[in-house]
Amino acid sequence: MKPLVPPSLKRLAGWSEHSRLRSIPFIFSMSLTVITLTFVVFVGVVLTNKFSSTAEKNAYLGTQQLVDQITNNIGQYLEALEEIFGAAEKEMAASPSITDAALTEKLATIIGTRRDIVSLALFTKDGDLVTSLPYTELRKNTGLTDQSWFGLALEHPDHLTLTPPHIQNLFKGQYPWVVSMSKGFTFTRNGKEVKGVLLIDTNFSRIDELCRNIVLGRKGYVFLLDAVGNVVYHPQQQLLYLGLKSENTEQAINYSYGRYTDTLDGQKRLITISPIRDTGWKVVGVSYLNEIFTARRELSGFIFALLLLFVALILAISAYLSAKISKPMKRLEKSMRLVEKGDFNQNVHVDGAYEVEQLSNRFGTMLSRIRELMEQNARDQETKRRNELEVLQAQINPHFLYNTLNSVVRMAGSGRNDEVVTTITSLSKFFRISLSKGKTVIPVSDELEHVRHYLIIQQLRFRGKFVFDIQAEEAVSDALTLKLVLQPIVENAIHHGIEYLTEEGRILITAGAEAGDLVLRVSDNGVGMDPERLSAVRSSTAESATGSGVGIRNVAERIRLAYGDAYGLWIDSELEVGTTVTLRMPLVKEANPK
Amino acid sequence: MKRRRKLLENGVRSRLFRLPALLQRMRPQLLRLPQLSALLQRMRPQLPRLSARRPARTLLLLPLALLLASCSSFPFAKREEAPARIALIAKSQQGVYWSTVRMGAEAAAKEFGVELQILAPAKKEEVSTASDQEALLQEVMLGPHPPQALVLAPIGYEDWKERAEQAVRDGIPVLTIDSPLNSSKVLSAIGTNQFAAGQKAAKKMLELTGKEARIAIIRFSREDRNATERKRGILDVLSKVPGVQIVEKSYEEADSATGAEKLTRRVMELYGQFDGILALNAIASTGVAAEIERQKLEGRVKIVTFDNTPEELELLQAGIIQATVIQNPFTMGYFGVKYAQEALNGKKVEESVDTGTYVIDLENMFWKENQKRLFPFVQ
Repeated sequence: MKPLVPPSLKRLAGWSEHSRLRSIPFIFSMSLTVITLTFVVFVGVVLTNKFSSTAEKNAYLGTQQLVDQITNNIGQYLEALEEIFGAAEKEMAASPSITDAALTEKLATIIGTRRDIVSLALFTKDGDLVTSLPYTELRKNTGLTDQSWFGLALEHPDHLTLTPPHIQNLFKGQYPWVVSMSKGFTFTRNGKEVKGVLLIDTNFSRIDELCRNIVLGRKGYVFLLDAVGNVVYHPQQQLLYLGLKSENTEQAINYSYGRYTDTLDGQKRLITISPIRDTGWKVVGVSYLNEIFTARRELSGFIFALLLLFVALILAISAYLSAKISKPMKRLEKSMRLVEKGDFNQNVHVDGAYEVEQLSNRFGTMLSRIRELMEQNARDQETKRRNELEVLQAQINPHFLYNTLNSVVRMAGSGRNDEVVTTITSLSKFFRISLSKGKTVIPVSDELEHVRHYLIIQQLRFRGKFVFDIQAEEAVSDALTLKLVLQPIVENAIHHGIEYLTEEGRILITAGAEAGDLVLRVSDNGVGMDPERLSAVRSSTAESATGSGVGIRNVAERIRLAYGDAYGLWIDSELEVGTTVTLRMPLVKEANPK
Repeated sequence: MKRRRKLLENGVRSRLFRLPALLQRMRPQLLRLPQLSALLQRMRPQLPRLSARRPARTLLLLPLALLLASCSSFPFAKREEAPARIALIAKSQQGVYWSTVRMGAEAAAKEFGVELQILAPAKKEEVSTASDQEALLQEVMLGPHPPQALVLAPIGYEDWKERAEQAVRDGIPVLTIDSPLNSSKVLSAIGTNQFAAGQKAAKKMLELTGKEARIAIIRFSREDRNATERKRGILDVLSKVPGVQIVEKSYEEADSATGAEKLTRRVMELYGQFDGILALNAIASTGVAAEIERQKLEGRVKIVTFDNTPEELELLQAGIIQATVIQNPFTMGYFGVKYAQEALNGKKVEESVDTGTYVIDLENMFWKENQKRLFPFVQ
């Protein structure tokens, strides 16, 4: 069997690059991926923003709180120092003599409790040492009257002066870095009022303790600044001093409280400033913004990982799902292709999604229907062939020939030469039309002529047992009809209807057009059939009882096969009245008369 | 309600954050997976059925491989670097100079997150030898955590050469501080330009004594490159001044200032009074100063020396020593460790770093800037 589909169409069914983009797996994966990506990116961005803004807010707040806390601590520390200064001042003021041993002991007790106090000393306004604790020798070349703590104390005797860090060069033994507290102090010596300066030097041990372990984030720190921008304390003080590091102090001077960001060594920093009471000092907290933003970075990194995971998952799932859908479809397509190639015996059943299953079922039904039709077709062809063979046999009909020749012999024996001539002539014409050059369709006039010759012969044979009449409408005489359709019916009418009749039989053959169809009718006034017999004949279109001629069934089938089920043969009969057989065929004029 | 949500958020977050850690821990195994899949790919001809029958499986491998590949580049997967291990070998455990070097080194170690070991002979600088230092290096190299970089204050210009170059061949960068080493393999020489320091000292001396002067140079007998360079610098200046007479003497007793003190006395007995004495190191200066003070010649015999030990500073403030040329030991220690760490991180470091010198006298010693230079801020 040749392929039903042209090869060009076949190529379309293959997997070209274009069709790949439209394939179910691709569309499926793409749309799922896009949807998931959109969703995850959206959620990721929202979550990241939410989390990190909270984290950043917390970081800002935490830094501020920590800086405030340190400010508070250092403030308290300075306050304590001032109290000690005040206590020493009070003791000294209350003492009768400034060099009194009892006073010295008291002062020693006060100072001795504090390891952050380096020394206490009292100088006259000319810079002479009156007393010092712990007692140590004063150095030469101290230049103490030029030092800021001395001058300021004399200038503002009632105000406690706090210096930035400096080297204390007064006493032999060491050169400590100190912060000096000084204040004007008036005392009596040798009965005279003497103006002087009281000095307490403190080292950085406490401040260092308070600040050293403060870590803002991982690398952040705090430092102290005085009113004019001197660094009082810095975790990397020596590095600052030697210029190995720098610190942005200019900007910090302008702030008394609050926060801002600056950039140092290419790193963005959050600076939080808080003032220490009324000292003019301030605590500066430094935290690194990149640390604060670490949460954001880490989170977005994580979300990105999650994104990839999701995409991977989605790709896997969609690959699986689409394979589940498209695989049965491919199988279906494959069996369709086999059918296309002519293998109609495919057993199409594909498991899978409901729709695909339905599709495969429909296809299966269709296929079986095609198969049925094809079988039917084959059967019809077979019948046709058989009928044609029968018609071929009918054309020579040996039984009829034998009977006719018998009657001719009889006629010749009795000297009825005219009848012999008539019979032989009719016989010859009968056979000529029977053969009709092998054609299957012939004009109605020929068919009527054929049956007329047959009737003439039969009339002579049955010696006036019946009469016949043939009536044809002019319009249908040149219409085409299957050949040898009337003769079997007329033969039946004679053999079953007329032969057993006592009175004269009548056979009427008409040809006419009815409702656009060609209708040939054979009526007789023979014995007819009772209803049982009639229905039996109708249902089986039974073969004639004698079985010698071409049966009515043959005629009916031939018409039906040639023209369809709307056409065929109908029998009406009434017992003792007669039988009418109607043949209906489409009215076809000779298209191309050869 | 809000609290509960916060708790929930934190819980989710902590759990979410554990995943990267897990991935991180599994990284070696994960990293092996792509190799495995590559192997599978190579074996594909032998396994035709695997991919032919199940295309979905190969499809699955792709995103998985992608995921793994991206794992290594995640920002959070960045490994916390193990701290660089750096050893600093000083000349002595004693003295302010070396404790200042140590402070600088430790400041850098803290700032850059370096695991720093500082080693030095227990003896005084003057009597320690290169072999004492080498023994220390030997010990630390055989220890459980050998250093990745070496910051060396070598005693002897030549003595260390072999071992230092061996270390460089073993892939351990070597930097020197304080004194250089006669080797081109040394990555960076950080220290004072002693020749320039000598020149400064000589110029200061000329300022103090005038151009017509008898000047003695007192030094420790050992061939110490720093002292030699200083002397070269001094002579470079003084020899150009025709009115200057120079006497150079060295003492043998290494462990105290008394050697210098005795030498000064002997020199003054032999040559008469000097206008100025240049003491080539801190210990010599205290000996010289003691003798001058004993003879009540302070101020009349000008003393110019080097470094800023507390003794020298006391003497400077007391007016017995007139000037000192100070170095920057803190910066040496700081740069030593800083550059060693940078070298380990593949950064290029300067071949030679001059940490600078300052001439300090009584007048300027308490200037704000000089306070910072002279007195280390001990925290």
